[in-house]
Amino acid sequence: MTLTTLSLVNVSRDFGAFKAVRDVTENFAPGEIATIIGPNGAGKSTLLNMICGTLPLSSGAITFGGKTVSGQSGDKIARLGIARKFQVPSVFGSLTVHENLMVSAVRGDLDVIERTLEIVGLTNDRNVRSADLPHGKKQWLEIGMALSMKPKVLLLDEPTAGLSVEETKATARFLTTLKGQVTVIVIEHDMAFVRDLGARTIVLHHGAVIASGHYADIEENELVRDVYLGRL
Amino acid sequence: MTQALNSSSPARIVTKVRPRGLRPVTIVSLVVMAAISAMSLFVDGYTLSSYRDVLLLALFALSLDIFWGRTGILSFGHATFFGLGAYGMAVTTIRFGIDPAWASLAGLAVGVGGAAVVAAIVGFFILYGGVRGAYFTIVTLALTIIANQIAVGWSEVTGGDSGLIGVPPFAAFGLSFDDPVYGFYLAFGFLAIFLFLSLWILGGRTGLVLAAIRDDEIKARTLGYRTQFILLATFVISAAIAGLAGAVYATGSGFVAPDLIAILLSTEVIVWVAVGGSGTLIGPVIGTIVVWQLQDRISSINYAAWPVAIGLFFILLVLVFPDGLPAYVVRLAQKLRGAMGRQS
Repeated sequence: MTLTTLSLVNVSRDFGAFKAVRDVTENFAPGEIATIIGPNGAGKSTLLNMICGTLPLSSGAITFGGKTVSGQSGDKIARLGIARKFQVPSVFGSLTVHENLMVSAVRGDLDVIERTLEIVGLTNDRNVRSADLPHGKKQWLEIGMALSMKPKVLLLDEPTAGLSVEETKATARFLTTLKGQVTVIVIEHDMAFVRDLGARTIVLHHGAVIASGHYADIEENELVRDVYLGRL
Repeated sequence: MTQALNSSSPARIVTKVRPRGLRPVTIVSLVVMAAISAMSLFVDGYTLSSYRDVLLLALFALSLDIFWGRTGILSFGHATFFGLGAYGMAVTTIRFGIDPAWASLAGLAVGVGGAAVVAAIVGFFILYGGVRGAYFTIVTLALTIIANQIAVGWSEVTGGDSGLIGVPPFAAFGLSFDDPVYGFYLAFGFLAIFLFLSLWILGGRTGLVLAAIRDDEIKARTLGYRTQFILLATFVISAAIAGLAGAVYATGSGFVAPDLIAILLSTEVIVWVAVGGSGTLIGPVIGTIVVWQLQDRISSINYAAWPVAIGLFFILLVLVFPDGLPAYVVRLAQKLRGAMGRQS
């Protein structure tokens, strides 16, 4: 698989007078794992929505492999290799686990589906209607659906929300194994999880990037501390 | 992990998508269609002619189920497409002076094509415009009203309120389906072809994709599916089948009138599908036959009672059986079983 760079250049999104995302410029290297953190309303999910085409940009551009993808439809962006997991687990409730993967996997490839089931630990739940799955398994199913697309970029919006401590640690371990194979951009609130990932961390506040770097450095950043302590 | 997914080595466990054996719905379909096909051995020509019309109405119900049952979007304007098919056949065979050997096929092409083109134009604007749910239903309801007004008002072509009389029996490739038995099997053939074709296609990945779009269209789009195009294609195919049913229906009855393109018929077809169970494909076929029998009984008592009965039944369906009658019966049976289990 050819990995390509995802670039955001002065990406902004306004909702009337409210600026949800302001002039975000970031490059995500092929195979890189990056986390985006920030308080509620910082613009993290809005940024992901713009990358995957469910929300148009107000200004700026997003390029993928040197080609502009901003302005293209969500389905076309997905076909280019950008997969997304939503904040609230988004699976097809009337379909079984296996059928969900039949829909998501490229050409419904059975080998890919079986491997995905094993990886996300849902082999024994293959015939369970996905609406009846517990929250944690829905999260994993959605991650599995994204992976079965064989993406070049994986966008994960709060993949550990509602997971136990053990499940969260397992998710961090699993995502670390993806390094070098697929570009992963994770939005998270769980700082222990972000620390476990040990990846580049981008901090958003009021829609703008206020810090970017290794988590250890971000943790020591006074501005970031002020934001998280509500002093700004 | 993705290396694992990309590896060409065989998976440790490889299972088929679904068992190769026949699914229950296919078995039920085979039994029902076998029973219908044997009907010509037991009933007279008049009854057979009536059942020819019922089978074409069942094909019409199937066409709605392909769209509504799979996408979850209710079209309240499907009579428009049935009527377009019927009027396309009538106008082509009566007014154009085409060689009788080819008139039915030309009428079929005009009827089916007309229904498909109208569905494509209307569907393009509403589906690509993001119109879904109740709004889609309202727009298609308005479509039926407009089409009905055109059928009544454009009397030079459509015959106005009186409609058009003298549609010739279906004939193609030297075969005439004038005889009640032939007419019955023509309708049966079309129904069987589209029923088993739709069971085959919608029983596979295509059906799953439609169900996925019904569950969460935005999610389906983020998986790379052109959801608007898929919905439009399904709508157009559904309308074309409705048009085909209407076109052949006109050749059986010999006339067309504005009630073939009216709200009552749009309502009836929804009831047929709901009674049989939307999304089941064979259910609407059974539903059409059952409700038609009911209509026959009620109309024989009082002709005017049927529109009132179907209206009341429609309200009952919406309020008490929103998921259809079979789903209600299944839930009721589960409740009873649960209650009996607790008692024992």
